Amino acid sequence: MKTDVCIITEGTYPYVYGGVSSWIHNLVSSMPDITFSLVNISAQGDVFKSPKYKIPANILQFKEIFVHDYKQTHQKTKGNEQDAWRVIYEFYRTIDKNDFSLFEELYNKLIKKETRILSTHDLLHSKRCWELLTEYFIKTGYASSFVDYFWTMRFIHAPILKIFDATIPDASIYHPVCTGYAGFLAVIAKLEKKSPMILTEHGIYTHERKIEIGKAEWIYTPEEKSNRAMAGMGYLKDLWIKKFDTLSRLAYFFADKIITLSEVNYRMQLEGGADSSKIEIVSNGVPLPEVPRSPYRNNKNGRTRLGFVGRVVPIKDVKTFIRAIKILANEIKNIEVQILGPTDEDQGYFDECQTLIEMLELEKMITFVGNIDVNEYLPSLDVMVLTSVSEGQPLSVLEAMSYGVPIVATDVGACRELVCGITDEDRAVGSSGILTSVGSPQETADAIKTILENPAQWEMMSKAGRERVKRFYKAERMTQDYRNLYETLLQREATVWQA
Amino acid sequence: MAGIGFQLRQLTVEGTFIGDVKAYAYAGIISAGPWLISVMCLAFLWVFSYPALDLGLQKLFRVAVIYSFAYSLITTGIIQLVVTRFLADRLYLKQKNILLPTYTALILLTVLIQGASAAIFYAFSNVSLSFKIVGVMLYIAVSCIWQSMIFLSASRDYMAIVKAFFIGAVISFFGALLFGHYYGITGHLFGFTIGQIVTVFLFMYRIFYEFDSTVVCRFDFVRQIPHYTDLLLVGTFYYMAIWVDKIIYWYSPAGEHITALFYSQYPYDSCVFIAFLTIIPALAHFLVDVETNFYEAYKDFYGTIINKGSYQTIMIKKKQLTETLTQTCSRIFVMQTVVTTLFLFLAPHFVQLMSLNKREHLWTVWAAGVGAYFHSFLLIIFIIILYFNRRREALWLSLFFLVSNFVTSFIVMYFFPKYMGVGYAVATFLSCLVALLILLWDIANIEYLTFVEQPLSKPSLPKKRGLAVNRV
Repeated sequence: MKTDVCIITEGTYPYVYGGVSSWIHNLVSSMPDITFSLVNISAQGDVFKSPKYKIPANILQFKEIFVHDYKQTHQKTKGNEQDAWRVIYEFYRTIDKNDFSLFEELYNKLIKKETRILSTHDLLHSKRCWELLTEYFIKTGYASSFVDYFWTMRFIHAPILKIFDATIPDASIYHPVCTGYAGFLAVIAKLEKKSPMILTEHGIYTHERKIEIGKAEWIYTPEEKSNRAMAGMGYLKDLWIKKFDTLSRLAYFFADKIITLSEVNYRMQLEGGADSSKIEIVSNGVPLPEVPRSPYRNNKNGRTRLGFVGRVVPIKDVKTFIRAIKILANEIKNIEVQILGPTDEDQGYFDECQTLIEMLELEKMITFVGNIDVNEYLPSLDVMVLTSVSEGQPLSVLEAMSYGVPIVATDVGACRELVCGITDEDRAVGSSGILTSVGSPQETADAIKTILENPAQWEMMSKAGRERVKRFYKAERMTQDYRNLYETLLQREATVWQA
Repeated sequence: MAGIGFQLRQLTVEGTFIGDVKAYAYAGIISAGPWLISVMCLAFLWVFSYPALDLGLQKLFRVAVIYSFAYSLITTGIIQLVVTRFLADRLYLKQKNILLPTYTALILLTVLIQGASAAIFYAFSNVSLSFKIVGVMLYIAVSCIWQSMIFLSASRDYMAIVKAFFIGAVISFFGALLFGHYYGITGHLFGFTIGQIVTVFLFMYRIFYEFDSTVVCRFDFVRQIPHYTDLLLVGTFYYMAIWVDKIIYWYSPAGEHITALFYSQYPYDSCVFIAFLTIIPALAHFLVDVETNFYEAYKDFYGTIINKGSYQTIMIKKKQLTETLTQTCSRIFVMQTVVTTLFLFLAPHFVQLMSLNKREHLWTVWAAGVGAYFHSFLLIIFIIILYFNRRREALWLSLFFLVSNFVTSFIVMYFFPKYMGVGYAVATFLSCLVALLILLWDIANIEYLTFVEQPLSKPSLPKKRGLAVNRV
């Protein structure tokens, strides 16, 4: 069975709530006449999961790939093995040059099931692999832990090899929604099925991985010795970053079209090696609710209500938000705070947040509402707060703005564009909120206070947010852009889709 | 196995000549103790029991004892490596209090299983009921001796082993003569059995004294067996291989039918037994040298890997490891060659000593001597391969030894009945060659094998992923 579009995601839709998942859900739902298949790449398959979204009827096929389920196959055909190893060797030498023209040869010799000369088991366990590993270790001049290097290299490559063995649904267009493993799978799909590839990148994958890796305590970081200047975070972390960086650049290299959400990300993609002629900006879009938010501070119980919309995970920096509330609690009476988003994605972090709330004695004020339909809660918020460390173009901000809720957000990703505008025309609409620095509870608290204490300003921001969404971020516009893109590639005549 | 080595090093470190000799002597007695003492005891009994027992009864006694030793070694050998490994793992995890419950569980199983199988065996033989009962007791006792040895090795209590064996042998000797005088052949066997039972109880006393536990009995190790099927097979194959040539000759046309299921081939048995004693010096040397010098280099090599050494450092340690191993092996080679040459020269005297037909059996002694020569290297390489945790290779090697010893011994027995023992010599020679090739390949690729053959499992906590370094 061949579908029009195959969407490839990594650990999101349909299992995890969030910006990317909602985006996919809305995109697919809005094009009932186009058929989709869905490939979800996740770490392990042994965790019980249930879909968080009702899968639209036009998704005809759903496939899952578990990259941390390490079982290599022995599948291969006869051929010149030494030659295959030579190609691998050459490929690793050219990786840094942003030239992936050798990848097609690599694909034929290692990945394509009919022509591969080495099995994935060979790639991980053979003598030649060992020689390459040790040679690389010596060449790079690492003088530190070999055992950590060895396992790092294994864990870096094993999930990729898992994708070598994956079977890919037939489709006319491959559309990964991030680089990384999803982008890599799409590259292979493109080569295997000779279909075009569109890459949409919400957050910048390499950037997000860098933040994660920087924080990771399980990666051994040798103590710096002064005789060798190391700019990075330790050679093992550098290896991890290099892996994700390479995967991103490979996806950029093979993508026929790269779609980014904002100006900021566009620039980051250029830095990350993407070809500017391929990039196009298609912003997120949200439906504009007919009834905007009720007027300022008009809750039935007479309290001021603050909302944090997002998953309770480290990248959202919920702790900074909680600390900001502590500062506010001393100054503003009668506030209640809702954290709207799933809490079960990082149990350890959630526990830490709860402990922090107890320590700061905010139990009565802050509620974890959990996983809900934000549309029911957004209209009753007085201010929507975002303290993320990294963002793409946060849908939650757009949604809040569509209801006319003023925003306090960290100045990351496309937040500045959403709150203040990009073009002159856009800026003229006015600010829909206040931007703050990352990890600064004081600034966040001050911003919230400023908005709440100036009803006139609140009113202005509320209006500006709704106006900006109406002019530049309507769902219909985004859908139309993708429809045009799909249909051009599907070589159909673009039909104007009526809202 | 490593345990004894550490204790021995303390002795050699003393540095005096006497100290060294002491250490070597102990090691020799430990590695071949049961063998030496039992063979001596049997030999003395053969000489001193003559007036009381006639030749036929003497043969019945000897065959009952040899059968008990042979089959108990084969059957307990099946589990021996598994239990050794289980104990080593537990000691490494500092779970010393599991040793005693495991020991009681193992002895319980041994008594039940070995008792039942011996009972079935004796049910088919036409000896008196009392002889049958004593025979079953003897079989259980010697089985318990081998099982206890595993635990005493783990406790590094080698003096206890030597003492218990010696006391047991003395009691066996006098007991056999005393009871034999009053109650004939059954009394003779009973007296001998008492000595073996005393050895078992001395071992038990040492083990209960040494290890402490609040739990009496735990069968945890049984559940571990499926994880160690390879070791289970290695043990089975190896001990079967050691005995298969003798069993072939027992049941060959040249074998002597003693009574019922008991067969014997006295000339072959005695020639091979006495030749096997020549491996004692080399084995003793191996225990001291490998388990002290070599083990240091071995620990250093794996320690460097685990303690985050660089590739270059690991390779330096590999070189040191290879050098130490080469030194150890060449020393053992020289030693074994000297001992075997002496043995071959003195062979005619041994033939006379054992009151065998000189012309016919000189060949057998020579062949057995050559066989023991290669067997010595085979055994040593075998242990080293297990040290490196190359269990798959150890499995193939033990299987090869079993098949080759069976095939060559059978061919020689069938087609060249005059050249008894040549089959054993050829088999050990071939197995020794194979073992050497495996060892050389393993050593050359040690760093690759250590790393790349590690399986990948789920990387939920990569930092806890250590290397499964062998701790046998």
